[in-house]
Amino acid sequence: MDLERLLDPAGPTQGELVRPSDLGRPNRIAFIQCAGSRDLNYNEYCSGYCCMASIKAAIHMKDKYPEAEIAVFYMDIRTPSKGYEEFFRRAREAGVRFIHGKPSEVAPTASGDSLVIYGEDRNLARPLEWKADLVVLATGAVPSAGTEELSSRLLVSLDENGFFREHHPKLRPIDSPTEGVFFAGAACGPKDIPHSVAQGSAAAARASRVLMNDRLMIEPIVARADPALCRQVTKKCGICARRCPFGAIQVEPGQAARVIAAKCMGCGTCVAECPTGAITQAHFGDLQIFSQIQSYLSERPEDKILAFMCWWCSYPGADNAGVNHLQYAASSRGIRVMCAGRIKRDFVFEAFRRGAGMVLVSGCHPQDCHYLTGQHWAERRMNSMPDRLERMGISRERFRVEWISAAEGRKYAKVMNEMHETLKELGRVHIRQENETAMAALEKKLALVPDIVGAPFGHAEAL
Amino acid sequence: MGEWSYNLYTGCLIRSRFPHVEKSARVVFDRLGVEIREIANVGCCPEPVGMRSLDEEVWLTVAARNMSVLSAANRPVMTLCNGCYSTFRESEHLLSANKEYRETVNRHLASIGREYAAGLEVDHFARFLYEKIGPARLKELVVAPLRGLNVAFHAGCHLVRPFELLAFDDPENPTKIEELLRALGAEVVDYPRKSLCCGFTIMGVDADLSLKMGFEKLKNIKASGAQAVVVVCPACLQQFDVNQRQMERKFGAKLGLPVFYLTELIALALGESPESLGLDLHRTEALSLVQALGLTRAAPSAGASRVTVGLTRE
Amino acid sequence: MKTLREFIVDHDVRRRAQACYQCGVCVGGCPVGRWREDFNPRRIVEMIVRDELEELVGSEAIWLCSACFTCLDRCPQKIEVTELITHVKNVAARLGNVPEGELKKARIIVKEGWAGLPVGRTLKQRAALHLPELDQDEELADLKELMKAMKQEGVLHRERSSPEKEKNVRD
Repeated sequence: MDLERLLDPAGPTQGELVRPSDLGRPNRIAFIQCAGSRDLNYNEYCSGYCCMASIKAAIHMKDKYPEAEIAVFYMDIRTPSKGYEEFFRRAREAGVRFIHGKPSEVAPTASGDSLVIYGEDRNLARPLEWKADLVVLATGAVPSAGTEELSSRLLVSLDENGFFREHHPKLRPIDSPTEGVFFAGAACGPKDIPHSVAQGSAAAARASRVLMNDRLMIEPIVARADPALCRQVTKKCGICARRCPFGAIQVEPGQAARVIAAKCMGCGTCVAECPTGAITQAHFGDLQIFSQIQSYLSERPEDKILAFMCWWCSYPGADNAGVNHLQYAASSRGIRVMCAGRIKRDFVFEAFRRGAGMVLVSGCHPQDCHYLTGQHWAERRMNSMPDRLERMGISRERFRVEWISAAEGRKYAKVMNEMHETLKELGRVHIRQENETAMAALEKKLALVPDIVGAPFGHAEAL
Repeated sequence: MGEWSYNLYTGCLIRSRFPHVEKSARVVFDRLGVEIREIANVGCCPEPVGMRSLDEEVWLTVAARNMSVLSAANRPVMTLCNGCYSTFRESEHLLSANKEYRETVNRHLASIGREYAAGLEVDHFARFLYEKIGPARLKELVVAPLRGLNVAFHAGCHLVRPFELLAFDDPENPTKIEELLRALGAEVVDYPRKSLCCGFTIMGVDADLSLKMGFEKLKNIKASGAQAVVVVCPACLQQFDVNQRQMERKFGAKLGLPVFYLTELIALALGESPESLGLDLHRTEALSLVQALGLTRAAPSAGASRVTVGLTRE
Repeated sequence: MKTLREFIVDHDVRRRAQACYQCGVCVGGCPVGRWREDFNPRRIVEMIVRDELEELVGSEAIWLCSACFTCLDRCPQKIEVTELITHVKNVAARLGNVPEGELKKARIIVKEGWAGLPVGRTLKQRAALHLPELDQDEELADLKELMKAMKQEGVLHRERSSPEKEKNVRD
C-alpha cells in the first residue's frame, strides 16, 4: 500500500520512487513475498493477491527506472487467474529477478545506510546475501478493523483467522449462515480486485432475491424452546445460544431461551445439547426418533447395526454405496437426522437398551458440516461414549463414530462390513449377555423414555 | 529481603575455568539479598549440544539424575550458564511431555535407586535479575554508575531460544537485559545481526569456522562503537574473551574488546572493587577500561570487597 | 536393536517434518550454513522426509549444527529442525560417524561426571577470591555407577560400533 502511494503520479512524490528514510533514489530494490503469510507464527493462509501486486509494482519500477536492480524473493509465485501468468512472464522478460527462497533476516549493513537480506538461493542451493537500498514487504492481509464488532452485532461467526465464515466454503460462498447477510470482497478472506468485484455483484444478486419477495419461506423443521422447562429462567445457562452457529437463539437473564424461527436452520444441535430437554425440533422430536429406534430393533435386535446419519453427507454416502452397487451387510438400519449435532447420547443408549448389536454415529467430515459446527459438537459429545459404554459392560468396539461424505459410498460400505464382521465375531450370545449386564444402568439413564412402539395410539402425544 | 533462596548450579565451565564469574555472581546475589545454598553430588548438566548429539538417551538420563538430586532440597535452582539452563529446560520439557522417554530414563535411574522428579524450578541468573529484581530496583542500588561505558549485549542462543519453550525475550532482538545495563548507567549500543551464535559449540568440529563466527560477531560489535561486550553465558565468554587473541591472530585484525559477565558489571556498579572481583583474570584485558572510566573510585566500604555470603552446606 | 528407519523415520518429529515446504528460511538464518555450503538444514530435512538416510548419517556436515535453534524459532511451519538434526547425529554416532573432538569431550563427561575439572591454578584463584571449596572426589559415585550400567546395557556408544552392530542399525 505504501509503495502503491509512492508510485502514484498523484501521490506525495508525484510518482518519484524514493526511500522513505532519506528520500534518496533506491537502486537495488527487493520484494519479500509471504511476509507474514503462509506462516504458522503469523497467518497460516496465503493472502493470494500479493504475488500479482508485487509483480505489478516491479514491472512499473522497471519501466520507469530500467537501470534499477529489482529482485522478488518468493517461495511460490501464485498466478492462478486469467492473464496473471502472462503478466508474470512479462516481469521476467523485463529483467525483474525472481529469487527462489524465503529470506530469513534483513539486517542493516555495518555502515547503516543500506540493508542486507540473508536467505537461501534455492535454485543455486546456497546461502545468499543480497544488498538492498529498499526492501518492500508483501505483508499478509488480515481482517479489517471492526470485523469482530460487526460479527457480534450481526451474530455472524468468524473463522479461525478472524474473517467472516461463509455458510459453505464451496457451495455457498456468498451467504452468511444468517439469512439476509451476504459477503463481498475481503470479508471472508483476502481477495484481489477482480474477485472482489465478482463477489460484490453476486452478493447484490443474492440480496435482491430476498428483497423481491414479500414473504420469506423457511423450512418447517425449526427448533422451539419450552419456557416451562428452560433452565435459563432460574439459572445462568445459555448453552443453546452458544451452540447455535446461526445466532438464532436469544437468551436474556431470567427469561426462557427464545428461538427466532426465521434464523433457525434446523440442525437440532441445541436440542441435543439442552441439559433440561427444553428444546425440541419439529419433525425430529425425541419421541419420533426413539420410536424409530424401537421399531428397527423390535425383532432380533442383536443382529442389527443401527446407524445414525446426517441429512447431507453420511445418508447420501450410504445412498452412493447403493447407487454404485457396492456390497455391504444387510444387517444395517439407518435413522436420518438433519445433522450429526442432533444425535443425543440417549439415542445410542436407547439402541443398546433395545438390544442393538452395534451402533454407528455418522456425519459430515469436520470441514464439511452444512450447519458449520454441528459435527464438532457431535464429535465432542460422542468422544466419551466408548468409555461410558464400557463402564456399563458394553464392549467399546460395538460403537463407532465415522465421518462419511456424500461421495464416500465406498467408505460407508467398508464401515458397514467391518461392523458386521465385529458383530459376527462377538456372537449373538455374547452380545445378549453384555446387553443384560448393562440393562440396569441403561434403565436408570432412560427412565423417562417410554415404550412407544406397540403402545396404544395417543400414548406418545400424551407425554 | 530474604525473599529468595536458591541452589547455585555453576556448571562445568565456570567451575573449572572462570572463578571470577562465580565470584561476581555470589557478590551480586549477596548484595541483592538472595540466599545461595551450595549443592553436592551433581555433575555436568550435561552439556546440551555435543552430549545430546552423541546420545540423547544418556544426556536425558544424566540430566534426570541431576534433577532428582536437586529436587531433594525443595528449593529452586539458579544457573549461571545458558548451556545448563538449556539442558534443564529442554530435558524437563522432553521428559514431561513424553512417557516413553520417562520410562527409559527411569529404567536407567532404577539401577542407582533414583527416579526422575518432575517440576524442578530452574532459573537463569540473568532472567532472574530481570524478572524478579528488575531494572528499577537495580537502579536504586547503584552506587557507582557505569557512566561513559558503551557496551554491546550478546544474549547467547540458549537464554532466548527456542522461544516457544523459554518465552523470555524476543530472540531476534533481546533487549530485556539491556534495560538492566542501562539501569547501571551504561550505554547500550545496537549492532547488526545481534542474534547470531557465538560459534563456541562447534569448536570441536570445525575450529576455524568456530573462530570465524566469533570474529564476525566481535567485528560487528566493534564497528558499532561498543567498548566492551556483555555476556551471560560462560561458553560465549570462552569464545569472546579467551579465544579473542586467537581470532585476532587468525584474521589479522585487532579487536581488543573486553568481555564482561553481566554480574561483573552489576557488582562494579554496586560498589565492588575490580581487584576483589578478579577482573585481572580476563584473558582479554578488561581492567584498564574499568580504570580509565574511573569505575574504581566509588568503592564505598572495605566490607563490600569481602565475601560476605552466608554460606551453608547441605 | 532398533533399525535406522525406526530411529529417525518412525519418530514423531519426522512425521511433523513432512509439513516442510522447503522455503529456505533455516538456511538463510543459519550461522554455520552461511560459511559452509555443505551444511544445509533445508536439505537435511528433505532427505529425512524422503528417507534418504544413508548418505545423511555418513556425512560430516551434520556435526556442524551449533544447536542455536534459530531455524526452529524462524521456521514458518514450526519444523523442529534442530531436533531432527540431533536425531540424525545420534544415529550417525552409533554408526561410528563422530568427530574426534566431540568424542573426547563426551568421554571426559562419562569418566569424570564433569565436562572439565578445575586445574591447580583455578583452585588457587578460587581460594584467592574466597570462593567455597569444591567437592571433587568421593561424590558422584552413583553417577559413575549409572554410566557404567548404561555402558553395560549398550546405551553408551562412545566407542566406535563393531561391524555387527553397524549392520543391525543399517538393516
